[in-house]
Amino acid sequence: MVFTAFMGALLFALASPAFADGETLRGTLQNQGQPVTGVKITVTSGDGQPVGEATSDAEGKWEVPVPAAGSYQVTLDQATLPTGTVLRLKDRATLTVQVFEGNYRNVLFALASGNADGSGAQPDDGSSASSAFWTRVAQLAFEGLSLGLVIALGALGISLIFGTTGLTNFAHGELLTVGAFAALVLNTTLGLHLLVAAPLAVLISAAFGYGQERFFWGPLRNRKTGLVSMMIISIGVAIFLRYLVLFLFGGENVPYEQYVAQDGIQLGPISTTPKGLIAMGVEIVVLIAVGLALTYTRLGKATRAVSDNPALAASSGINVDRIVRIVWAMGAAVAGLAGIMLGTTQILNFQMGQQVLLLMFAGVTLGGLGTAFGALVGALVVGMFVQISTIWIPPELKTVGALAVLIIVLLVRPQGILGRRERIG
Amino acid sequence: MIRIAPIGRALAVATAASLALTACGGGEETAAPASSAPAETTTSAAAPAAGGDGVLTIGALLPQTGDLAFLGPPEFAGVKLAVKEINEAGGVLGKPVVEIDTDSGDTKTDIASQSVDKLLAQNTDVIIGAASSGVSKTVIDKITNAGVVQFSPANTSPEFTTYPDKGLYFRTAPSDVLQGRVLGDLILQDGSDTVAILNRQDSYGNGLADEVEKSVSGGGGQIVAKTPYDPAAADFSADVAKIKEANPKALALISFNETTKIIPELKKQGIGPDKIKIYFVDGNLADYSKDFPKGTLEGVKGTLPGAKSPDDFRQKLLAVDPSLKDYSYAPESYDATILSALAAEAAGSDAGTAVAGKLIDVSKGGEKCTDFAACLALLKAGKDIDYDGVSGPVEFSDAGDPSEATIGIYQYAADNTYANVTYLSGKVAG
Repeated sequence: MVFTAFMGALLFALASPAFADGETLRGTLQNQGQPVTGVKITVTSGDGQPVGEATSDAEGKWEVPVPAAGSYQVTLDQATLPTGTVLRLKDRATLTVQVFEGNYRNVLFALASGNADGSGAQPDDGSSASSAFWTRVAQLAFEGLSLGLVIALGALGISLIFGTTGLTNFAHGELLTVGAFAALVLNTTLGLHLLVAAPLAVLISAAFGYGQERFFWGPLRNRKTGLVSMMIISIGVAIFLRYLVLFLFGGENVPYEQYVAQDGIQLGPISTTPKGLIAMGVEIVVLIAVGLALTYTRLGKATRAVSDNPALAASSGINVDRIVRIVWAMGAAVAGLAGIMLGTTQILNFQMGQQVLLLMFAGVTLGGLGTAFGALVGALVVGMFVQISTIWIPPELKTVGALAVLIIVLLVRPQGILGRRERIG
Repeated sequence: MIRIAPIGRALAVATAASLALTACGGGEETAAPASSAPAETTTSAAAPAAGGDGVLTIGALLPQTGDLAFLGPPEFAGVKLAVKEINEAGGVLGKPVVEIDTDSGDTKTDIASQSVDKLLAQNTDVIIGAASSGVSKTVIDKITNAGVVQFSPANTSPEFTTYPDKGLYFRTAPSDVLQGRVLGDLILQDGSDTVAILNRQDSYGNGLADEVEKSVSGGGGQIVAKTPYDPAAADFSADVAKIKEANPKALALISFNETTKIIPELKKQGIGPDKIKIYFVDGNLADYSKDFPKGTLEGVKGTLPGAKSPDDFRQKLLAVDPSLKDYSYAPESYDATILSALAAEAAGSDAGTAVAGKLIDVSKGGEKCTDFAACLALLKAGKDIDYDGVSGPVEFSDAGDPSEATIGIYQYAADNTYANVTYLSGKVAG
C-alpha cells in the first residue's frame, strides 16, 4: 500500500501520462463564473498517505491522478485562495471522495466572495431567504386562484346537474377532457388557430352535454332508474369516455399548436405567463356571467326553481325537462372551457379530467351540494388550499390537504359552506 | 315491469359478451397460437414443476400505453428482431420461439397485472419487461412465484438488486447506482454547487434521486432541494415554486413524460433551461421537437444507460418497425431476448427456472460470441459461451444485474432533439 502510494506520488512528480485514462480526481475552481487560479489542492489516500497535489491553472482547473479506485481525501488550502474569495461552506475544505475504477471523478469546492474571517461570506443571506419565502407564498396563492378557477368551472356544472336532477355525475371530469380534445382536433387536424378552435370546441361540448341528456340520461330518468344506479352508470360512462380518448389520441401528453411553453412574465413577486393571465380572465368573466344569469334571468330563476323542488316547479308551469337539458348543455360547455384552459396552461392528456375530478367534487361538497355559488366558493377554497398547503406539507401530498379541509369543514357544517340544512321529517 | 324487448335483451347480452371478450383479447401472438390451448390455461401454477413444454415462449410486457409509451416501440422492435434472428437460426431446442406482445401500461393502471395473467396462462417461460421499475415491482412477485423469468430491458431502480426474487429476476439495464453517479459527476463538472432534484415519487424516481444526491454531495456540491412529486397531480406549480425558493444553479429532473408539463412550468416561474442548468435522465430523454417551440431545451443535458447502438443494428430495427424514432433500450431488449434463448438452449429446457439457472453462465466466462447463430453453434459444440451483446458486454452479477455498463451523456440542440456528447463506462459495484 505504501509502495503503491509512493509509486503514485513518484509518477505524479514525473508528470507521467500513465494515469491520463485512469482514475483521476479533478475539478474547476470558479467564483461567480470567473476562474480562481493558484489554489493548492492536496489529495491523501483513505489512511492518510499523501497521493499528490495540484494548483489550479489559468482556467481554474486542477487534476490529480490517483493510483487506484477507492476513497480519497481532497483538501483545499484556504491560505492560497486569492483575497476576497472564500469557501462558501467553511467546514467543507476537506472532502472525502469515492473514486471508481477506470473513471475520473469531479470534485467541487463552492467559492464565494467575502473576507477571510468569514464575516462577509454571504452578507444578505437571511433577508434574501425570507424574501424568497414570501415570493413563494405569493406565487402559491396565485397558483391556488388559478387552479381554483378551473375547478370552479367544472364544479359549477356538477353542482347544477346535481341540483336539478339529483345525479352525482362522475363522468364530469371527462367532459373537461372531451372539450379539450375537441379543441385539439380543430386546432391540429383542421389547422384552426386556438382562438378560433376554443369557442367552437365549447359549442361542441355544449352539444355533447345536450345530447347526453336528450338521448341518455333523460330516457334513463324517465324509466325511473334509481339515483344510485345512475351514479354507477356515470362511473361507467367516465371509464368509457376516458379510454375512448386514450384509444383515439394515445396516452402521451400533447400540446396545442399555439402558446406552448410561453416565457414567464413577472408581476411583482408572481411569475406567470400571458396565456395564464388570459385564461384566468376568461374564467372569471364566465363565472360572473353564469352567476348573474342564474340570479337575474328568467331561465336562471327557473333553473333555481327546479333545483329547489322539481315537482313544484313543474306544477307552476316550468318545463323541467327543457331546463335540465339547458343545464346539461351549459354545464358541459363550461366544463369543456375548463378543459381547454387546462390544456392551454398545462397540457392535454386522456387523464386530465380524472386528475381534477376529485378536486371538483371536493369543491362542490365543501360549498354545499346543489348550490351554484357554494360550488364556486368551495372550488376556490380547495384550489387555494391545494397549493398553499405545500408550504407545510410535501408537494407530493398536496391533494391530501384539500381533502383534510373538506372533512373538517363537513364535520362542523355538514351542509357545506353555503348549503342549507336538510329538512328532517 | 320489465320493458326490455327481446331484441333489446339480445343486444344487451351481445354487448356484455363482446365487452368480456375484448377484455380477454388484446395480446397478439406473432407465431404459433396453438400454445394457448384451453386445456393448458390452468397449468400455469404447476409450470415450474414441469420441465417446460419444449417451446420457448417469450412474453413481452412493455409499454404500449401510459407514461412510458414512448419507450415501447424501440423495445418491442428489439424483442421482435431478436425473435426473428433466433427463428432464422433454427429456433431454440429445435423449435421456433413464440413471442406474445402485451401492454404493461403504467403505475396508474392495472394493465400490467392483467397482461401477466394472460402471459402466464399461455405458458410463458420468460417475460421481457417491464420498462418502468414501478410497474415491474407490482408484478415481480406474481411472475417469480409462477417460476417464470422476469427479464427487464429497462428497469434501473437499485431496489431490484436486493429484491427477494428467487433468482428469477434479471435485467440488461444497469442499476441507477451507475447512472446517478455519472449524472452527479456531470453536474459537478459543469460547476454547479447548488443543485435541486425534482423526481417522480416512485421506485425509479426515488432510487435515482438518492444516487444523484449521494454523488453530488459526495463530490462537494450541495443539494438545496429534493422534491418528489405526485405524477398524477393536476399541475406542478407548487413543486416548482418550492424548487425556485431554494434558488439552485442546476436542476436534475427525474421524470417520465410529465416533462412536457414541468418544463413550461419551470419556464413560467423563471427557472427554465435558459436560466439554470437542467439535466434529464433515461426516463425523459426523448425527442421533444413536436412538443416545444425551437430553442426551449437548448443546452439541456441528460444521461441514458446503454452504449451507442451500431448503425447496422438500427437499420435492422428499422426493417422490423419502419416508424421508429428513438432507439432507447432497443439493444437491451434485443440482448435480453437473445440471452434467454441461449440460456434455454444451454439448459436444454425452456422452463423458467432452468433458463434462470443458465443466464449468468452464458453471459460471462467462456468463448466470446456476439450473435445468436454463432453462440448457438458454440453451444451445440459443447462449449461454454460468453455472449457480448449490442448493449455492452453484459456480464451478470450474482444478483442478475449487469456488473459493467456504459452511460451515454447527451445534449439537446435548438430543435429540441438530443445528440450524444460522450460515453462513459464503469463498474456498477465499488
